[in-house]
Amino acid sequence: MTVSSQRESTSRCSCPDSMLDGVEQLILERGDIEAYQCSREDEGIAMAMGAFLVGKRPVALMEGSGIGMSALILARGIVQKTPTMLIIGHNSTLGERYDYHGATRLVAEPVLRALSIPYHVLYDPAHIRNVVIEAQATVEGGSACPSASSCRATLFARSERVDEPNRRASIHRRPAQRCCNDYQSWFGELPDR
Amino acid sequence: MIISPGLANYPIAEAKDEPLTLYNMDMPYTTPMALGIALGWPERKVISIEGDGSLLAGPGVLSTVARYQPKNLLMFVFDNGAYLTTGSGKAPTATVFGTDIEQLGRAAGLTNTRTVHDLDAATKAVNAAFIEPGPWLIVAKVDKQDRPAERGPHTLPMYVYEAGLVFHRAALQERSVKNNNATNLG
Repeated sequence: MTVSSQRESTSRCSCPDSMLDGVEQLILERGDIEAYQCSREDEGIAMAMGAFLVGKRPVALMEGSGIGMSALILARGIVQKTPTMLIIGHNSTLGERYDYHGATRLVAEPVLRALSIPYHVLYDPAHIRNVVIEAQATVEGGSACPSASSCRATLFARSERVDEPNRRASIHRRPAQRCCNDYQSWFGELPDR
Repeated sequence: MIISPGLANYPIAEAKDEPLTLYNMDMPYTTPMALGIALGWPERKVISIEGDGSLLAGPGVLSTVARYQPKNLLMFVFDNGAYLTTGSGKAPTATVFGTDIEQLGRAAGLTNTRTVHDLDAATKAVNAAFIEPGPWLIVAKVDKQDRPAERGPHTLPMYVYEAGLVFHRAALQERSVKNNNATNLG
């Protein structure tokens, strides 16, 4: 999502992610943030950086595998001094239940470290708001480089035991709404640039 | 204007350097960054200058452009059939073997597309793109005679590390002036 400096509009770029799905659906339903879904995560990061260049507050949402494809555009953002905020579902954290996400876990966090991109791994939903606000402040505060908030697998999908076949929808949807209903206020305390 | 790596950078910079220009964008990201700019600043015409090699490195963006239909975006592709600025410049791109970039765009959902083979047709297509709402995809089939390595060293008017700051500052300034004018008129 991208929030403009003039507050006349908001938007964000994303690729689908199971954990962040609830947040994305909320954004699409409410329509108070410009939302763009893209074909690849690195493409979305480039779009978000383009939005920054013309005065928006850029945020790219994705799953951790997308970071593996995005090293080059992130590096370009650092060299070119064009920042964006990243919100990443899953990472090199605990709680991954699918073995085919093994490559994702291997690649995501090391890319952030290799590029010296400041990031924070969230474990507690109570911290979402402050971490996002601080990450945005880092983006705008002169670091001029991408900044990331990585979300542990169970952050938005807290371990609620529900039965199949509704497990997937329930697990991702309800906690996400609970955590993120006030996502607009994540940015509310930031001063206009 | 966002320009992909390659020979297009130098004649454009020599013709006129504008602060709202990013040179030598990394290969797959020319049009994605231009798309972000176009969506964020719909009042401004935004141009991505692609090569066949750079666009084919990330053709998925054509579907994203078609999905959001930014009226102010023009994608102009120089298709010379080669990775001309890399190594010997002899490595061919897929367009030599039949890949048709305009048809890729049409398959992605773009409707304002042209493939042009001479300067006159290119001029007409660009003029149309500035009059009729986009998004536009213009593919210019060009030969390989302009290879920069054969024309001596080239420099660009700006380092990459200052380009983002200059662009950002110029965009905010222009938008601020326009907003102020609109406020005053209102």
